[in-house]
Amino acid sequence: MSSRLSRLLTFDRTDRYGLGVLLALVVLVQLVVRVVLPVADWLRGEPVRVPLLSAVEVPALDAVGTAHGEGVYDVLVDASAGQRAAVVAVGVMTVALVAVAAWLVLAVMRSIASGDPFGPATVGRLRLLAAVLVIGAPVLTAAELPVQGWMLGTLDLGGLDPATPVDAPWQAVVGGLVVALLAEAFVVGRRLREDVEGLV
Amino acid sequence: MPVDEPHRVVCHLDRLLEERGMTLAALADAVGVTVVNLSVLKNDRARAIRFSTLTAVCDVLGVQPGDVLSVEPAGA
Repeated sequence: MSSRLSRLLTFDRTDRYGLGVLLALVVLVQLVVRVVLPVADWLRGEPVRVPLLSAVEVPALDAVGTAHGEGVYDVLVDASAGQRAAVVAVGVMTVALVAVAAWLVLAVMRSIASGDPFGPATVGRLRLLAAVLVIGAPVLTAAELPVQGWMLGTLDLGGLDPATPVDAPWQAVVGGLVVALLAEAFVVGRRLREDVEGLV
Repeated sequence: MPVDEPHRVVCHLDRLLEERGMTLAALADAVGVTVVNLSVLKNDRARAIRFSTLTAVCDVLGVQPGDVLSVEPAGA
């Protein structure tokens, strides 16, 4: 690998600041989109936008043999106070999980930057981050689907047959497993460091 | 003896330095390791020693490894 490319791929101070800003933005955007805007819509009496997964028949498209099938369509629901509260609750859970994950990433990044990457705290944080991704993300999805189903159940869908997506947040789960693997690498690194400590 | 038990290796650098009227700093300088590391060895707090360090210490002091290190009898 050329030294220029090697320098480019080195995770230096600029990258640390950049990642910190990016994570803060992710948490902020989640807070606005998942909590602030739903609460604002609630206060203004605006309908709730609920994704509807359904097959739609379009005779005109069928007639010319155009491929179309299941799609996700936003449906506006005049939700009750309980439904809106459930939407906000799921939003708060999402923001909390994203904030915890972001804090864990920052804490691991700080310990690596301070030159002590193999401390027991780092391994614990990586394992917690893995748990947040592997368990937290599917739990959030599982919590969100019934709320959406509850709101769609109150609607007259005009013959549309809503489908339930059984897609898990695979990216988060796979990412979490990779982080768990990384935590085990850090455990080995800690053992190696303990072996080297006291070496003259 | 299981390897995870505390070791009983004793370092005799103190005596060897005294016999030669040499300071730890001078030995560290001659050997090419830090005074801190050599102090760790001298005070029996080292958990391992590189063969290269031991060779250099023996060369500078004109001794054999057995003169620098010995194993205390069990239960002593």
